[in-house]
Amino acid sequence: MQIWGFIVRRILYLIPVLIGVTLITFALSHLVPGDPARLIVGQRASEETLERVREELGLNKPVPVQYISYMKDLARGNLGTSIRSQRPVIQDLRERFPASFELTSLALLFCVIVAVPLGVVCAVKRNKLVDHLIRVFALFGVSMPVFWWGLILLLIFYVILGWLPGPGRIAMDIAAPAGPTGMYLLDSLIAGDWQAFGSALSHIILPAFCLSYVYLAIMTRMVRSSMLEVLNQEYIRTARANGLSEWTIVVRHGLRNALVPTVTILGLSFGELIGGAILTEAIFAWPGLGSYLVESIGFLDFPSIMGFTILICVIYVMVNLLVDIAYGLLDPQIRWN
Amino acid sequence: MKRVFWYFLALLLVMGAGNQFVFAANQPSTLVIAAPADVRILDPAVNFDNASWRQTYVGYDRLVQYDGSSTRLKPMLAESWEVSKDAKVYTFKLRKDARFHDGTVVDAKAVKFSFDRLKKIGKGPSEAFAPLKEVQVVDQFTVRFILDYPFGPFLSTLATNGASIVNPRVMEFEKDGDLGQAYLADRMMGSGPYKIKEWVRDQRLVLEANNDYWGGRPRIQQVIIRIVPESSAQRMMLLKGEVDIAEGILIDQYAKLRNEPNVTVFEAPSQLTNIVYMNNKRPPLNNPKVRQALSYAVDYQGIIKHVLQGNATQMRGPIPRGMWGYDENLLQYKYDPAKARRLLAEAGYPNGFKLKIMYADRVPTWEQEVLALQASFAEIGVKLEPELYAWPTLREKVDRADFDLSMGIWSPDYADPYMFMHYWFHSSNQGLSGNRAFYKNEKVDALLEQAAMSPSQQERIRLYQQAQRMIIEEPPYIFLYQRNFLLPMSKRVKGFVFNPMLENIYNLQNMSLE
Repeated sequence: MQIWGFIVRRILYLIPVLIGVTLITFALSHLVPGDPARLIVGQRASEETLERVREELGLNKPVPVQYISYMKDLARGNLGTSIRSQRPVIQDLRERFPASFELTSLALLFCVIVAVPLGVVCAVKRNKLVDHLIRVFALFGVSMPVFWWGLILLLIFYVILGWLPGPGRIAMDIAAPAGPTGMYLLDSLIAGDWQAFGSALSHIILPAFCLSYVYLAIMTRMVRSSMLEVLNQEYIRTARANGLSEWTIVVRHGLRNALVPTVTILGLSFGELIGGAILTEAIFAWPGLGSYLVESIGFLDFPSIMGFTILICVIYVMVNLLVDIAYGLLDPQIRWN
Repeated sequence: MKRVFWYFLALLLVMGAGNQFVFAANQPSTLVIAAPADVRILDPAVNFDNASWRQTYVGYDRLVQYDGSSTRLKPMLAESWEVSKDAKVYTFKLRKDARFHDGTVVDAKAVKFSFDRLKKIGKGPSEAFAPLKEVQVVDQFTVRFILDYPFGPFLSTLATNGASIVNPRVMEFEKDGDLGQAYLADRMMGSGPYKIKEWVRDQRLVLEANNDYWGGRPRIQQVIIRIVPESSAQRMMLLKGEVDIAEGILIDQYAKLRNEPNVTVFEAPSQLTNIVYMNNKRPPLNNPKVRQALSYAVDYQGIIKHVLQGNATQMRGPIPRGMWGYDENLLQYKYDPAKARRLLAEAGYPNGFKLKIMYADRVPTWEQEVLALQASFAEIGVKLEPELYAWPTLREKVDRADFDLSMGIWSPDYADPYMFMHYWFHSSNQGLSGNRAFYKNEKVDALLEQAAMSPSQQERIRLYQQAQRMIIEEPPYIFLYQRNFLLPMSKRVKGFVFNPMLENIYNLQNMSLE
């Protein structure tokens, strides 16, 4: 039961975190000189028009008053109306979030599937040729700028070979799958629409790979170094002395203990990627949260900026909670309190 | 291992099933346009940027329209019109066969409704109609516009997007007295040649032809506007034939594109002007001699050749080439550092001074232009300090006159030199609304007022040219260049006509695909 108390406590921590984050974001975005009302009415508008629109948006009140009324709405679950699209912010986020979630999850899944075995191989074959090769591959990933890498992938697989489709989430002549999650892969599976699923899958491969490469590189190095540390422990020697098979030693006794730092990186990467994949989203025409933030800032769309911040903040807290739970599962010595 | 292989094979097969992914743009009646960003609001009474006009301009009709690539006006919903002697009353006869997309007749009531709605909503697009006092329904197909005072550019304001005629039935969807703004934000209720078929935000907007259009059935039956933010990605899609027109390709990629066999780069002079605002209120820029000196210090041809790769023309005064009122004999500042130094010395600054210049990354070439200015100003002893700002911040600082120099762009909303002369130089427009140099000259003010009220184009040209000659002697801005409009498109696209007033807007009704 200990774990439930832990979860509830951690979720309650969200409240002070949210107050802090909203306060800072609100203050910063309102301190920047700039007037979103201008961007609505156009540059040639008269002062009266401008004043009227400012009033409509509530921008004529002092910033602290604006903040309090924002927080009141937030407490009622209302994220406000976007200045730019004049739609509820929640609706904008509901469209953008699934695209980002789908891409990030797939990228990190790919990352884990590739990085963990590579890291283990490196550690076991330390300083052998295969170790060097994998480390060069990893170094390449950390050093390449994402936009360059994305364009090269497109050039090879889309333009030259023609194996994979170009930018976008789904082919133009296939209707976007309508479903409960907003994630095309899941929604098309639920609907049993194989054509849409195939198209969505082939569209997500390049951006997901592109996004995963940097983290894949970091994670491979992480797994390698923590495996090396673990493999030098005495209990491993004991296991060897007991005559366990090399597989059991490496995977059951070694890897499990080496995964704790990896899970940390995974959690942090998730939080970082879901709102920060700006370049990948731009290159692959992926309408995710990162590009949403950039557009919102360019317009000083306060409600959208706030909505984004709150969403990312909640995601970070949740992911860290999951990471902490995972620690306990991986290593029984760690307790949830 | 074997099982993994079979799973993998099955996956490949599924992907193969969805394998129309290399979607052929090459469908004979579907045009695919790649655009860098999606639009937000489609209501013509609200929206104020060219990117949304791309959709709404073909969804709605207006009373008048531009004739081809010229700035002359010809009938659209109005068959003919008469102007009263005092130039305050315009009477329009409407054509009788125009229908909104739901079949409702486009009549005088709809015209009155649209303009009343525009003025009541009172956002950006309504500013062009400040002189409009009242719209009267004379009979079902006759409508009368009454102005508070004669306003020369009035007829051409009727060709702007804001003057779109909206179906009055939108009021059935009114919410909380918003005059249907929420409803029209993502819909179109017009009578134009296209209507919206599908809109998946930030991915694609699909227009389909209105085959009952009074102007005839459009040959392009479907238009897909795809959102592709990145320039290189757009270029790849164009080369693959997946899009027919790519709107967001950066200037440094054109040289390569011109060599592609299936691509043409459409090119025409535009009215998009680039200027440098000089804060006329702030010393030393309040001295006209200093402003002249800076105007002589710019290597105009160097910027055009190296930064814009030749895709621009140096301005000659404020009214750009291609707009009536342009004066071929007006003084054009040339790069002349010696003269600039002499002028600075005469102004009392033989050793120069320091200035800051603002720019934003909104215009990708600005950074290089600023660096070029920095280099040439250094030659006359003026030390230029570049400052990069976010776009809204830059605009706010311009509005408050909190700057020395700032990069700026401007394009006219309608075909009238008023868009340049009155906005840029009349002292009542000081600030972001137009006069961003905070220039004030009472004689110029008087000439501009006279020109705005005069009904005669000849008279207006004379007045504007007179004002230009006074302005150019004490230049409030550095008149850099007017950019060429460049649009890479597939060779199968035929019939595109560019009108400098309608940047980003296609004459879809008259275009076709091979």
